[in-house]
Amino acid sequence: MTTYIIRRLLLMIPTLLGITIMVFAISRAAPGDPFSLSMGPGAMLDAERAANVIEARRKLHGLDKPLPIQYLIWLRHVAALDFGYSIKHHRPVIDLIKERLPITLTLNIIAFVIVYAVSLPMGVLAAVRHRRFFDRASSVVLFVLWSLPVMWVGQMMIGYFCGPTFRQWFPPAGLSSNYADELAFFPWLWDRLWHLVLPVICLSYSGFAYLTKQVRAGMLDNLQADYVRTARAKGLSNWAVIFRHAFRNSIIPVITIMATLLPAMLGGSVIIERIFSIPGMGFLAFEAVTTRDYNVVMAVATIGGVMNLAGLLLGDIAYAMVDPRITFESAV
Amino acid sequence: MKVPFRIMAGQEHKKPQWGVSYGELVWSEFVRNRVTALWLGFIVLLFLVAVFAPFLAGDKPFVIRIDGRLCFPLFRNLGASDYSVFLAAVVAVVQLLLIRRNRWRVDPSFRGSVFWRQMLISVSIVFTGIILLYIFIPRRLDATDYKQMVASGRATGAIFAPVPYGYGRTDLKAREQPPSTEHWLGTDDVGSDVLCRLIHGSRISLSVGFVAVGISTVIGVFVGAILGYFGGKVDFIGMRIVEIMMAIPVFFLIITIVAFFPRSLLNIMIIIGITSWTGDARFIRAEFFKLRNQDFVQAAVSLGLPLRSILFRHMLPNGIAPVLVNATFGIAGAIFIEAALSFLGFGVAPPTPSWGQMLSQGVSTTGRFLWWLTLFPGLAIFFTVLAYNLVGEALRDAIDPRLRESA
Repeated sequence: MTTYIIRRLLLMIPTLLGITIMVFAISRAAPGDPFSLSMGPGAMLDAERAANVIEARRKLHGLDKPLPIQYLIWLRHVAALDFGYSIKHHRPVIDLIKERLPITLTLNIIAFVIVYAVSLPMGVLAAVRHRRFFDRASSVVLFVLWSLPVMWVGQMMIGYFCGPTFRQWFPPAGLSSNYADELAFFPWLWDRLWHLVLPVICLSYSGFAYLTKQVRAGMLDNLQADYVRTARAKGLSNWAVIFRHAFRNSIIPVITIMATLLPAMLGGSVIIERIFSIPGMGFLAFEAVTTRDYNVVMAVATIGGVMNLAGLLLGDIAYAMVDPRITFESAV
Repeated sequence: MKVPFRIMAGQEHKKPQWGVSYGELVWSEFVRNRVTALWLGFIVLLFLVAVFAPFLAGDKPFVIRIDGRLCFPLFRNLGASDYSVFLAAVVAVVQLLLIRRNRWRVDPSFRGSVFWRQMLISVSIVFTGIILLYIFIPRRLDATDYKQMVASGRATGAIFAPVPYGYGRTDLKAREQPPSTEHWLGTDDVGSDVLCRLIHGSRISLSVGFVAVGISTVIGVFVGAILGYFGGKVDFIGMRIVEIMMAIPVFFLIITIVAFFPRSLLNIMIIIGITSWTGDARFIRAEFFKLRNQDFVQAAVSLGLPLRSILFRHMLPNGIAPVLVNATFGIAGAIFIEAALSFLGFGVAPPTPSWGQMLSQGVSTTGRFLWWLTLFPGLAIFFTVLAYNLVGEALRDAIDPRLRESA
């Protein structure tokens, strides 16, 4: 097991380098030069002096070196988690990320748990009731949910449930009320949860369709298999056949889906955090892009990629742990 | 290699004894379900709306009599983009008719190659046509207020479009109005008619969907074909690159690129295209792995055909099916991403209408919730995405009967 994980980690290194190269390349391929932009009107009058100043500043920031060297320098800083300063917030980027990342992660993990908690039973039930009412109805509903654009749903929810125009059931923005610090623990928790309801619904509803479909397909395959027939012939109860035999076999591919579901949610959280003004990574990315805060943009892209890789790794490890047929030595 | 055109003269109205081709089989399977046929009809309707947008909504009249002289302001004011859309639509219709004609006239054994050659010709006609149109058609700025002229009695006999407002119109007296008989779907924060902007916005959505998916499919097929055909080291290195592309959250990557590069429709198309080819590459690679050792490929290799011919003429038609399905879902995805980008304010510049950007105006700067600006653009995005997803699902079922059994 340990060797398997180590091998997986080693295989991640080229991918990780690839991600950093890509982010770096995008930032350097961008048109425009930060220094000539910041020169101001004086540069027009004395072109020679302006050129000298730009040259000096390029040297100061290491931009006169060849690109591969620049990349290595940047990579060394990134490896030490030093992403430079944020132009907008006047703070080290890593501090911002330390502040924002937990919020996004909490949101995504809650949504993730809800997706699995809803989809697994629904998928099983749909497979058991194959081609009957529940199966058909759930597939139609989930298909519609899958196609619903998240920004529309979010804005409709804010408009209809949070605004003065219609109902004012939920808070429209933020993570907690202004007076949250003065509350006792349980009211505080309640306040927090109340703020999370709508964002979590928005994050999770599109995942239902995908996961339920996978669970259902896996269950259908397994319910038609010979060993299920044997189990039934043995006289096992329906419950035992479904959950002890078929379900345990069909859950294995579902675990790998975890790895593809997580990045999609991270991307979706940009939109959702923007709609509900939640100060997470997605909102940070949004702000950084609108204010051209390049250091933050690069940091968020890099960290997003790393988290994504971690998700893939976790998925693979969980897969290997759940399925006893996989031997760690032969699997790469 | 030249493909002989065998014209069956004198047999136009009798179907030759060729049996049913794979495409026909899929098609008949596809339209058997009434619901999917209905949604396909909806997509066709969307296309018609997008193509004829200037005739459905615009503030220039078709015909007007000014000082006793007949003028045709609408037709005079069609720009290069309008003519490009018309050209693309005409070529697409001709292409569809050609496919129909091929079914009757061309032997199935090389109908595929004929089809691809016709496609190539059509696409090149469209591309050169669009470039020429943009070079030669001047930009016009006709700010004449024809409605004012009619009202003051200077002009008579004006025939306006059903939605007589321009999409770039600003009318500060009619800001943020809910739906009324005058503005059927209300107005936005600068007084533009929502219905008019919806109609013109369909062009952006559909063109982004098709061009982005075209780009991603071309890249994906090319990469996947190379990886799948060569295998070995090429495949190992190539798959690492594909993995890197998959490991970056696509939406983060897109907004990163958007942050650094200037915003334009073409850039958005390219960005969505170059970030979403990995699925196609993996499908094609898997198909080519299977095909590589089959006899017809070995025959093509031993005949000494060039690599291009082996990959794209012999192998690709046998492995294209999953890519087609993926492309349909890809169109839905690209439309969604474009709407999301515009919603966040990273889309096309404001006077150009886009559904996502209209949606973002649903909460006004003063915090008021304008339900008509949220509901209608959202419905437009939703139904378009739903239609493409449903058609993709039906296409997959039609192509792969094994999946249909379990579904």
